[in-house]
Amino acid sequence: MRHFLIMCVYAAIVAFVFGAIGRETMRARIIYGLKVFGEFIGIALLLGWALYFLPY
Amino acid sequence: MEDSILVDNNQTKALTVGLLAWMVPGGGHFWQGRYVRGLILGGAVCAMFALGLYWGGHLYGLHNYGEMGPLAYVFGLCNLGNGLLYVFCLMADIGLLNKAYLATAEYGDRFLMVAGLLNYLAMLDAYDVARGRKV
Repeated sequence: MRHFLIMCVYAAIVAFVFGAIGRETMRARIIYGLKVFGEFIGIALLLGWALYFLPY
Repeated sequence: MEDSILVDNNQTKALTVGLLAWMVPGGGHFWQGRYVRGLILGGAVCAMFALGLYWGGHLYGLHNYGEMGPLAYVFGLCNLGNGLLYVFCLMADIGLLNKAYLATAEYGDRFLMVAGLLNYLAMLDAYDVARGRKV
């Protein structure tokens, strides 16, 4: 669980920065930041499950 | 003639802002009056750097060349993005010890590197704002 929390912290900080510099308006920044955060977590969980089925 | 002087001044100012943004995370935006963005970027980079050290990460550089070889340059370049934080830690001997025995040490290493890479992004953003390419 600690590893997942660390990953969430990482995703949140990176999403903050990407949101701040990636878009022009405040609304677009918030949406983009949330999207980046969701993508980080979603892809990490998907990869985690995919790797679970690999024998090596 | 006046136009070329104007462009030169703008270029010099943008390079100065870029250098300041590299040295002090968020400093380039602060200097240009973008206080909120500077606070967000500086806070994010400093928080990531502090968490990296807290979780047992260590800074790479030429002092790791013996154990890692050329990869020390790559990791060191990532860490170098932290600007004066990195220089201060090197001089004060903070975060140079490899704490591989900690479960979170690898996370700490990555946090320190990504903090530097994010600061490079913030530096480029500050440069673009100074050149008038971004708002």
